[in-house]
Amino acid sequence: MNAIAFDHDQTISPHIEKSRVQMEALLKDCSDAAYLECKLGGQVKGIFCYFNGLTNEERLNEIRFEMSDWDIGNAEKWLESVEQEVTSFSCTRMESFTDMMDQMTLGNSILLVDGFDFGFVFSLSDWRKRAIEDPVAESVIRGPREGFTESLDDNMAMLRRRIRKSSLKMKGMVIGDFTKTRIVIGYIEELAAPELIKEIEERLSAIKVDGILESGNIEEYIEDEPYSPFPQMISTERPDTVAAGLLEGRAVIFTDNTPFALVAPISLFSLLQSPEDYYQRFLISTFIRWLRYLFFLVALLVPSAYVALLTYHQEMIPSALLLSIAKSRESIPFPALVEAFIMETMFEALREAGVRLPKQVGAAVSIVGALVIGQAATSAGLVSSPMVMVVAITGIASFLLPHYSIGISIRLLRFPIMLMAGVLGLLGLLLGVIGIVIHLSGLRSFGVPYLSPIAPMMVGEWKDVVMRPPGWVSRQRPKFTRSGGGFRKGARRKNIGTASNKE
Amino acid sequence: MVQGRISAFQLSILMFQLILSSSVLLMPSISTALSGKDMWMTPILSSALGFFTIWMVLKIHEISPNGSFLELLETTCGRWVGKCFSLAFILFQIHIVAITIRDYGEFIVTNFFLKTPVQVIIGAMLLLCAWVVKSGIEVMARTGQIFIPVITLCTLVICILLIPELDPTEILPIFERGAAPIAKGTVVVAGWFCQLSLILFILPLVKDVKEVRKWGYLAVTGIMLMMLIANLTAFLLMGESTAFFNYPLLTASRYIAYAEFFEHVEAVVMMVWVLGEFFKISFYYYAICKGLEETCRVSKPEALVLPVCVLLFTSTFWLAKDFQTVGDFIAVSGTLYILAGNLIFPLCIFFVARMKLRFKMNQT
Repeated sequence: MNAIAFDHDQTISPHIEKSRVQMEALLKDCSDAAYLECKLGGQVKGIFCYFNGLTNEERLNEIRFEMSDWDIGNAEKWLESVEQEVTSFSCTRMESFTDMMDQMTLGNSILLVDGFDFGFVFSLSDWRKRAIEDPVAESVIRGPREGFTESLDDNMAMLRRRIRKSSLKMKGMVIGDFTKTRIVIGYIEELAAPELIKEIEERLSAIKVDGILESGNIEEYIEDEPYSPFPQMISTERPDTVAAGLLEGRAVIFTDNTPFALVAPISLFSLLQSPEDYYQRFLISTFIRWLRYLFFLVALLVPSAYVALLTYHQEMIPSALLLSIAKSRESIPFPALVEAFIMETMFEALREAGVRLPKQVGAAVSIVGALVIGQAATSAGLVSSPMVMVVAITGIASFLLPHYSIGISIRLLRFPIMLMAGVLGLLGLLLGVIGIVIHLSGLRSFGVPYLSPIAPMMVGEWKDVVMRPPGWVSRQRPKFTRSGGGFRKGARRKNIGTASNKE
Repeated sequence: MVQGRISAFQLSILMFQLILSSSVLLMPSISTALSGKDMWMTPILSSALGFFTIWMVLKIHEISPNGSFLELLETTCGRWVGKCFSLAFILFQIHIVAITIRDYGEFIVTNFFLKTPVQVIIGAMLLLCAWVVKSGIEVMARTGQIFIPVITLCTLVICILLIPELDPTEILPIFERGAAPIAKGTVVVAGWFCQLSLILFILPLVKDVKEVRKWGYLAVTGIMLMMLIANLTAFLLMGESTAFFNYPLLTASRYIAYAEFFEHVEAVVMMVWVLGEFFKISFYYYAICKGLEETCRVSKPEALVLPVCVLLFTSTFWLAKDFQTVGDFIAVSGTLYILAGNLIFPLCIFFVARMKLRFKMNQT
């Protein structure tokens, strides 16, 4: 009961001993809270209070010693000296215990002094962070090798290093009653549509939860259509992806304690683009984009098409191929649909196991898995070798997509389509595809149609979908930006080759 | 039914598919039976009626209150008579779309899924259509923007692949039997073009109505060209025997064989057919829901989608005992029936409304 009473009694007593009792009651059973007594100017008693591991204790000790040397007569004089002399660190006054507690949880240290009915907060937060490393989930051959870390400030700094302009805005807010997670919305003021930023802010401030642990928690709450299998935001740990998004008028949402930032709005086609596309030669990138589109369809449709053809439309397979397939399927006890289901499920299980297993066992499992799935199953006559091939191709195809989140949606949707193909053949497959396209046509990401610029049609933006145009060609910004498709600055490429030839 | 709005361009894409989906496969056979060697002329001649339909629909739209044809019916004929006319018009559309759905089902069952009950084939399609209708006209238009280019491309590819097999001398001599057979064929093809008047229901949802004229005429031109290509391909390949096949382009696609590997592309034809019919059925379905919503002043239009789905499903089988009866109906009186409902009825209403307007103006 006592502790609850203290919660409401927030005023700080001028008697240091009384304050200390209040403080200790608030931090009861917090074994990570530390108290450090000191004598200011050798006379006045003061107490530093902070959480172990969140505060830079070395600096704190320096301050403590510095203060004990001060010659102070009375309270007013001491206050003056704090405000004038203390320039080597930032120090603010706090009137209530709750405010001070909030500061302490951020890693700052607070100081209570005898004779004062307020406390001081020293910004000394400093804790161990992971170093900036290669982004593991999105590796590129050519491109920057740094990825976001769990530290929000580092992440913002990485972005600021890429966009050095004051119009890069970072609006902060705090979500989560218990976690009090810091969220930052970043955008470029001249490019992002104000309605978009307003919408994001509104959706974010509507979240009322106990805790936010990862950007995925937020994503779920602010998506347009949470029941869709398709991601409506890009989650990325690459600063260059985020910067490119901001330059196209999108917004980024950073969450503290996770390296994954969210970029919105997006369309399906931005999920099929890798940042690397823009660093490589445009012909090569264009080719790779086409390859990706092709394998997007392969990952979605090939197992179902195989099932449909084998079950209903054998006449469509060229006879020589049909014969060899029939030969390998001779001893298989399952119909094609069951076979496909077993193998696809098996593949998914192996993939998931590969992610979860510790690195030391990972290799062993993949070898065993490959043997189980491939060699042994075929020679035991449980699955046909064409089916193994189909599964392998679709597996690889789904990893060709540069964003993991779209790959996994496709792999999930494969199963219902396979079932439909098993029931109604190619007609079922087609109906499944129509269904997916209906869903995609209705889907929006923060108001931007998911299939734009194909449907609704914006011919001006097709360049960046059907190919990767050279920089000086794609001068038009996307439609949803503030300028509504205005032009990027920059003259056309100078005729470098001819100029040097003349000399 | 989510209320969305579409652009004139999107409407024209849907119009394009609305007419082509069933005609590309069925028409070559029927027009050959009626017009013989001159069957290729029929789309060109009857496209005049297509242009006229667009013109008429836009005229009606101009004088309609809120741009809605059904409200025009109520203001010209009085509230209750108008409502009866609206319901009759909607029932007529239900009848037409029931024929289309039956047609779709029979094609799939007779050519690809001999043992599957036609109810399953039709039911699956109708559920999908219900979904897109529920999602609204905007989503339907976007789905169309994705698929209709694919459908058109596939049709063209089939025709292009058949080029080596074609014999241009088949169409000679021109005007072999005079103008009468051509006129007969033209009327039948016109039965397809007049279905464009269905956009009467959709026009209030178009953002830029002023553009509809241009895009509508372009759509009619596009339809005419595609019909011409399909007709010519079928006829140059099979000559007068085109009339003996129900689906000449499907038969034609069986001729495609390249490099002993690229053959049996009937699946592509099926894809074209299923996708095309999907758009045709959903367009009709949406128009019917929209019509019912307006006539009966339904406040929650979503509630209409499933009942209409059931109604369409059952009316597909109420229509006739077997497909032969449907075929006979289409061949004998169907064309006149469609023309009467889709063209003559709105035209009469238009004239009556115009006269009433002029009368009122003279009085004041």
